[in-house]
Order: sequence, then structure tokens, then C-alpha cells
Amino acid sequence: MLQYTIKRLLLTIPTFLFISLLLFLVLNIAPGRPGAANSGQQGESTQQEQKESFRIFKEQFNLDKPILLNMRFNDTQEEVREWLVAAYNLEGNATAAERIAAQETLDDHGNYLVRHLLPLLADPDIEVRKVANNVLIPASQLRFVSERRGDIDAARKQNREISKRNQRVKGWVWDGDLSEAEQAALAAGWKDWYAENQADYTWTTTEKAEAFFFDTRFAKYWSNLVHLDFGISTADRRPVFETVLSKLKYSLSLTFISVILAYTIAVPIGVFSAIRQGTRLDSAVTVVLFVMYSLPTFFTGTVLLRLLTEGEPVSWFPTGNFQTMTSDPMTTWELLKDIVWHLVLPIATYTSVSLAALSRYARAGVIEVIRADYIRTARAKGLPEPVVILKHAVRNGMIPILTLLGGLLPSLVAGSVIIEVVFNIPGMGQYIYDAINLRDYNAVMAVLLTSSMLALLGILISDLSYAFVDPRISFD
Amino acid sequence: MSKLAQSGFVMGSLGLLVGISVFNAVQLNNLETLTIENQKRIQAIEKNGVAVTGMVAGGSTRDNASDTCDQACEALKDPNNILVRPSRDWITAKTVEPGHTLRLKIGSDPRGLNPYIASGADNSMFNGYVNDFLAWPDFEDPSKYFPMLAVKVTSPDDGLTYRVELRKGVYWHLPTVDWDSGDFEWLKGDGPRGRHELTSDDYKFVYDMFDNQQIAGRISSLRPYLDTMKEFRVIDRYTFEVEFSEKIYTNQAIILGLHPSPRWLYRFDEDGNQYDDATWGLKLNEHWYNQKTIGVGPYRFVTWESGVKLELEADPLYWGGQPSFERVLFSVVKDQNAYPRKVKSGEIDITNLQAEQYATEIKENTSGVYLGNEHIKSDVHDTLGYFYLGWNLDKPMFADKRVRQALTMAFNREGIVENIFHGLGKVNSGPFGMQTACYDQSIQPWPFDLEAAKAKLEEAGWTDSDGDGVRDKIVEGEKVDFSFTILIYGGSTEYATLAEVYREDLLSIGVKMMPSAVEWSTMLKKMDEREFDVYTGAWVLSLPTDLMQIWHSQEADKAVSSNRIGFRNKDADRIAETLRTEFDTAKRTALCHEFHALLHEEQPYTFIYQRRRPVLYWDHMNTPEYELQYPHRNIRHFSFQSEPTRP
Repeated sequence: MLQYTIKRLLLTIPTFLFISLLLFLVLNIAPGRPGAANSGQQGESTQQEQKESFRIFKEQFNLDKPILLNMRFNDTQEEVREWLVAAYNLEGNATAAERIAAQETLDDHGNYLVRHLLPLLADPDIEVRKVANNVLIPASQLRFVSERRGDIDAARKQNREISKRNQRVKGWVWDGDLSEAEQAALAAGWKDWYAENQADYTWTTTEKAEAFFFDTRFAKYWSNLVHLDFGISTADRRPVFETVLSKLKYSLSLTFISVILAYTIAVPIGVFSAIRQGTRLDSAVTVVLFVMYSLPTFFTGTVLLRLLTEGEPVSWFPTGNFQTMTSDPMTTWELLKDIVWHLVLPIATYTSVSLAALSRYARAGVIEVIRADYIRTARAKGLPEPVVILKHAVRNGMIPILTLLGGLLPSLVAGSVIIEVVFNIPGMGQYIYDAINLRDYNAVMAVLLTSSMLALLGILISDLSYAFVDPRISFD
Repeated sequence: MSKLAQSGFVMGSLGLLVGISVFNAVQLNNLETLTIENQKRIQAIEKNGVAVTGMVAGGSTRDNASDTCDQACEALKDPNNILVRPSRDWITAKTVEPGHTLRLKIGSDPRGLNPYIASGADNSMFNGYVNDFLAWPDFEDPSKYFPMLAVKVTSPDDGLTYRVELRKGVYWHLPTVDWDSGDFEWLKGDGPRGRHELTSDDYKFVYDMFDNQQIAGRISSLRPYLDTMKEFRVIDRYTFEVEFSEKIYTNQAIILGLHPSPRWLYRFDEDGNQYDDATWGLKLNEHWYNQKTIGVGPYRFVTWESGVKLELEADPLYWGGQPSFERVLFSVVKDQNAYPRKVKSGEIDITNLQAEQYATEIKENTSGVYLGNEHIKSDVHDTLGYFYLGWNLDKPMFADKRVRQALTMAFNREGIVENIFHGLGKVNSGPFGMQTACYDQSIQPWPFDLEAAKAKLEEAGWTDSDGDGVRDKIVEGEKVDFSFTILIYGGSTEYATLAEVYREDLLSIGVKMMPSAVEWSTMLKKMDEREFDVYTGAWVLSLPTDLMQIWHSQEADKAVSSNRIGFRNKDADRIAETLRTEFDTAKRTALCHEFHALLHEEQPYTFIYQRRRPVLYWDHMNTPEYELQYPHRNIRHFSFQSEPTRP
């Protein structure tokens, strides 16, 4: 058993890695990107478009890196020249799409362009010389090192050096028409500068191998993840992990109570309809449960809100939210009452769906054992019927439904998107919904990775619990 | 006996335990109630104390302004002062004692609250309450400004340099931090109650942010607007000068509309250590205080709970007098369908409505009582947002203006506004707000006239030569059918219906059109890459008018720009350039009208309508005044005229 557990636990590591890779790829390949949705309302443009800040934004979140593998050290001078010509439409025949793509490539490749841009400063075409000079300035800028972890003082010192170097070339702009002499002076300046700093813009074979795997979005993400750093939200710039923790209390109190409620109601109903199998009452229960199961939660929720909160006919419950919006302090008891009062409707909605499915499982489980030999034996022994059912049948019939609990673990944390939106509960469901809309990669990754981790754990727990509750099963 | 006694004993002790627990819980609860009451008393006492200090230290509150001429009043006597006296009182008179909470809603969480880092309309709204501008456009004539934080603004060289004199005795709110911990003493200033005074350095810091390329936030999107800003000079504690390299009309509006930002807060980390000069810009992007905000305005930031609420409280020391409300509470309501319900339950005082909600709750409601409560009133307000179709002028099919005129005339705009948008708009004919002077009221929109449209198409050479029901023309030696695709935003059913109506009308004049509904990020990409024939667009105008961004041909040549349709017109360029540097109001209006006529003739856009926004509100609110640009943007104009009638 112990051996099996260890084996399974070790297996979760590669599984988790693979899941994270898959999620990361799907997320990064999906249309749209973070920041783009940041400007203005959906479907509406505003005056301030943020093209300027987008470059800095991309650098901040490593969005300028290739997703999985980095081949940028293989750029050639011809390619770079083509990008320049396309991005600045020097031949006058580039389409808007080509220009945007080329501009973006130039922005993203940054340091990798430098050694190809320098020879272009002597290009026969003066326009190429000009844009090459002006692209060199941003391309030559070195990235600051992180001051978040490790030796902060050393990092600070290094950043001061980097800042000094970046400042040095800032003014070398080719603006308007320059005389031959001025052009030559600029080019000479770059030449000297390159002689000094060449090492930062050329790559040895080992450095290439390193860049190939590690100068990528995925590698950068994982290097943060192993430090348990889920990164910063691209939408609100808060550490994602902090936000997730703060959302957890809302989702947990909703899902946890609902699951317990669903089990306590579903099991008796299931058992009841199992022993009355085939009767009219069983059919009635079945029909009612199926109706409950088929009603979508957004419908049930809205109907409950409409009927029970708006005074038509009654207004017994608040119109959503987790607690009363007030700035007056409350005692713990008042607070508890308030939260319970707010949670009645969402919990009822959440429970109504899971109830139906669970009671079906319970019914099936009991029906299966009720025909077993040992039940007949128990009856033959002359045991009273309630004892037969409760002590012998239900206990064994509940094994499958208990093991379902393990699978519920991730949904406990992930909450319910629809119920949280309808009832305006600021939990994890709402959070991930917004995060997906805003293409907030870090937030989506954090929520999905946590729930896949919990799913892996849940499956393990349910497998183990099989062996625990049913002695016939053994993993050894 | 033993078994009975045993169980009796167990039950007894259990009962006792439960009894004690209940007793304890009740006691604890009573204690908590007492503590809370005491806290409230202490707060009330503290508040009174502050109010007294405020009168002494402030010196320029509105009460004693009437007796003596204060700094602002003296400054207005200077004939060189650009600022003028407001045409009417800018704070609504209070008819109810302050002490109430104003309850509003926001549709989503803000993305941070630092006005120069986070973007978004909600963010600028909060900061509009928490902070002040240098000056405010006058209600009657928006080209004039009255003093807020600045008492005097002069420009000795008529628009190249602006010299700003700040109001004295304006104090920053105390930052919203855990003061009891004792870790934030370094944030205290030398003003009353440890507050910092507003000085020229708070504007110098804005300039420094502006100048720092490391900052990726909203300030960087302001850069193209202020690219002519050359130098910022601090003259003394209360005076500074801004110098531009070019005289641009909008510079003044942008400068006067800037919030101050405190260096003593944003240049430091949470422990009070100053950031390095080399990287402070990067640090500011993720500053520890960016989830909160600070200002010198009427309301102080209290708390923001993500997804729940955002709360502000009145600043008793506010230089402009006592704010109308004790507190302002913004609930986060993400489900738009819930807006009417939240008004009805009294959770919010006022809300805007979706077109569909307007139709069911107001338009089709004959009883005159909204949401079943006679204290709830409704209103419809003008906005500065308009809808349009943007034709891709780089496509040969739409290059002829007669074709574009025909396509506009085949579009039943009146009918669509009336039936699809429930009458929440006015059909417009040009790119300016219909309620502004720039809009030439004499220019009527092209009529909906299918016969005239047919005639125009014939004139432009589009005829149905092969009798297949679709017009065609020989273009560059090849016969092409008049058939195109309209790109619409798929998130709205209204657009889909609109396209369907248009499709049928076009078919009747022999033009084939196919709607293509896409998700917003795809739509944005297609528009940027100009991969469209025509798209449905929406735009929110800014004041004052600047035409360069959308209409100048230099923008059409850029890869990504707002001139997506590729509009290139020499006259339009000339007007846009002249308007940029013209300071005379009458001449500006004439230029606007000329431009309006030009666009009406050229029809690069088919203007559909200018939006109107319906609202529901409780009648204890004074008839709410709306700023043109964003409805209920400015709660300074809100007050209660009676005790709240909401439950």
C-alpha cells in the first residue's frame, strides 16, 4: 500500500508537468492576448490607445519571448533587413498585416537583432540605414534583472550599471535629414559601442543551447513556479496567489456547505427509491430529480431571485452578494447570520443540481447490493428490515458514492462560474471567468494549475479510499 | 444502576457544557457589541476634533470666503489669469444634512487605482472623487476653466508656456495604511494631523513619470498627446511652469486636467526605502500602493475589496467645503441583468440600463411606476458616444464617394434606432457631439431612400449587366459583383439584427452583403490589419475636439492607427492641422462646421446614431446632473434632496 502510494505520488509530478505544458500552450496559442483587451470596453474604442505602453508591458510579463523554444539566435541579416523594410513600408507595398507582424518581430527579438543591425548601418539605401539606426536604440537596451529574489543588493548594483549603459545610446536618434558627416559620426559611435559590449549580443554554442530552452515564456514561467511564485496578474497587477487566497473563502463556503447538504439529502432519497424500486413513488422521485437536474443553474438561480427577493410575491432573501454592503462593523454572530442569510439561495441552487446526480448514484449502489447473497442471508436470519437495509445494504452500497468525494476536491476550490456570476459572489468562479476574458494568463494558469493539482490528489485519494472502505480491494 | 447513572452523568455533563458554551457565546457577543459602540463614539469624537483643526489650518474654506477675498478670489482679479469665475456654483446646494451614504455600482473591478498606472473609465471616475484637477471646464462654456487646485494660470507667450499658481493650504489625505502598526510613520508630513501639503513638486513628479520610459501604465498613453511638452520648471513651493515646443490647442486642456501625484509616497517601497533612480519607473508599475489611491479631493479612499466593493469617505478638511456625503459605496455588480433588481432593493441609488432593460422597464411600462415603487424615477441622458460603419477606402469598391453615399442612403438608420435600439439615440450626420457647438445642426443626415441610392450606384457605373440580381462593374478589365462582408462585434445581438436589416435593404437595390460576427479580440486584430470591407464601430468623443487621431492622412499610413479606414483627404488634413493650433473659439467652430460638411459629402463613415443613456434612480437624489462624457461621472453634482426613500 505504502509503495503504491509513493509510486502514485511520484507519477503525479510528470503528469503535472505535462498538464502545465498543455495549459500553457493552449492559453498562449488562443486568439487574443493580455493587454489588448485592456483598452476600452468590449466592442468600443476609446481615445487613448495604448500602443506605446504595450511594448513595456510585454517585456514586463515576458510576452515578447517565444512560447516554448527559442531560435532567435539564428536570425540572419537578410531577414532583419526584410523586417525593417516591411515594418517601415520602405518599398511601399507592404500590407497592414505584414507591417504589424514585422514591427512586432522587431520589438520582440530585441537583443538578438543587434549584430545584424550594425552592418545595416552601412546599407546602400539611406532609408534602411536610418531605420536600422533607430531600431538599434530599443534593440540594444538590456533587460533589468529581477530584484524580487536572491541577492537583492547585487541585483540593484547590476541594474544601475544596466541603466547607465541603456542611457548612453538613448540620444543617438536619427531625426530628420542628417549630413554625411553626422551619419558617419553616428555609425562610428555605434561601432565603438559594439566593440565594448559585443559579448552581450553574441552567443557561444552553450549560450545558444541555454537560450534555446530557457529564454522562453514557458521556462520563465516555470522558474517562477518552482519558487511558488504564480506571478502578477496582467489585469490588476496584483500577485495572483494573494488574490486567489482572498477569493477562496467565498467559493469554499458556498461549495463546501452545498456538497455536505447534497450528500445528506441525496443518500436518504437514493436509498428510499432503491428499496421502493419500481413503485409509483420511485418514479415520481425520479421525475422530480431529473427535472431538477435538467434545469440549468442560471435559470434556477434567476427564478429564485425573481420570486424570493423582489417582493413579487415575497422578498425573504437579499438580491445576491456574499454579505450586506455596509461599512458598519458587525459582531461575529451578526456577521454569521448575515452570511448564512445571503448564502441560502446560491446554496439551494448549487445543491439542486448535484443532488439529482448523487441520489442516482446512491440508488444504483443500493440496488446492486440489495440483491446480494448476504442480504438474503441477513433477512433469512430474521433480522428486522430496517437493520438489513441500514446496516448491511446501505453501508456497502455507499462505497462508490463515497469515492466520488475525491473527485469533488477540485470543484470545491474552483467554485461555480455561473452561480457566482448570477448571485454576485466574488469567488474563484467569477475570478477565472474575468481572467479568461481579459486573457490574464498568470491568473488563469494559477487557478487551473491549483485545480489540476487537486484533481490529481483527489483521484489518488478516491483510489486509496476504495481499498480503505472495501477490504476486497488491494493494490499490493 | 451503573448503566443508567453513567448515561445520566454523561448527558448531564454534556448539557452543562452546551449551556456554558451558549452562555459564553452570548457574553462574547455582548462584549463585541459594546466594543463596536465604543469605537463609533471614539470615531465621532475624533471627527469633531478634526473639523475644528480644519477651520484653523485650512483658512480658505467656503464659509469665510464670503467675508474676505481669499487667494483664489484675489487671483481671479488678475486680467491675465486664464481661469475665470464659474458661471454657477459647482457644488450642489445641500438641502439635507450630510451624513448619508451614496450608493453606486460598478460593473467590474478596477485594474488598480493609481490614476497614472491603471487605465479604465472606472479608475478615472474614482480618482475624480478622490483627487482634484488644476481647473475644471465651465458648465456653460467648456472652453473656459474655473479654479480648482490652481488659482492662477497665465501664459505670457499665448500658449507656449503656462505658469501655474497652486492654491495654498490644500492637504493630501492620509494614506490608507495600517497606522496602528507604527510602520508607516515615515509617511507623515508636517501639515495638520500629519498630512502633507500640496506643492509644485506633486506636479513635477507627474512630469517625471511622464518622462520615464520604464512606466508602462496609463501615463504612457498620454505621451502622444503631450509630445510637445519640453520642460517643467518648479518656480517655488506653489508655482511651476510648463513649456511646450509648439502651440497646440489641446495642451491647455490636458495640463489643466492632470491630477497631482505625491513623490513622498510613490518613490518609496513599503518600508520607506527610496527606490533607485535607475529602476524606480519599473518599481512604480507594481508599486505597493497601486491597489489604493490618494488625493486632495473631497473623498478619501477607504477600501477596495476585489469583486465586492470600493468605499470612499468624506474628507472633513477638504479645501472646497464639506462634501455632500459621509460615505460613497460602490458595489461591484458584474451581472448587468441585476441592475434594476439592485435599485429596487435599495442597494444602489442610481443605475444606467441596457437597451433591452430600458424597453421592458420603462418604454413598455404604461403605469408610470417603475419597478413597482413610486419613489423610483427614470431619465434619459445624452452621451458623446456614437456608432458608425467604417468603409475600407483602400478597397476599389468603396473608393467612389457616390457609392458610399448610396450605401448610406440604403441604410435605414431611423428605423434601426427606433426598433433595435429602442429609440435610445439620435441619427447623426457628423463626427462631433450633437450637443456641442462643433456639430452643424443645419446638416441633415442622408435620407433613407432606396431609389436615390440606386440612381447613385448607376451613376457610379454599377449596373446589373448579366441580370443575376447583383450589380457589377468592369474594374481593371475584370467584371466584379457588388458583394462585400460586414464585420460585426459578435457579443451583441443588436449588431446582428442591424446587419440583417441592412442586408435585406441592400439586396433590394442589387447589392450583396454578408455579415460576419466575430469575437472582440479577433475583430480588433482584423481592424488593425485592415482585413475588412466595412465594420461596425463605436467611438467615445473627447473634449476638446482633436481631429488628427482619426482623420489625418498621416495616421492612415501608420501600421496600427485609429484611421483604420484609410481616409486620405487634403482638405481634411488642412482642417485638422489648423484646428490643432487654432485658439479662437469662433474660428474653431467654423473649422468644425467645414469639416462636418466635408465628411457628410465624402461619407468615409456611415454615421448611424449618437447614443443616449437611460437611468433609473431614487427620488431622494437631486435631479442628477450629468457631465457630457461619462454619465454620473461626478458625484460632486449629486446630493440628496430629502431623507433617503429607499428601503
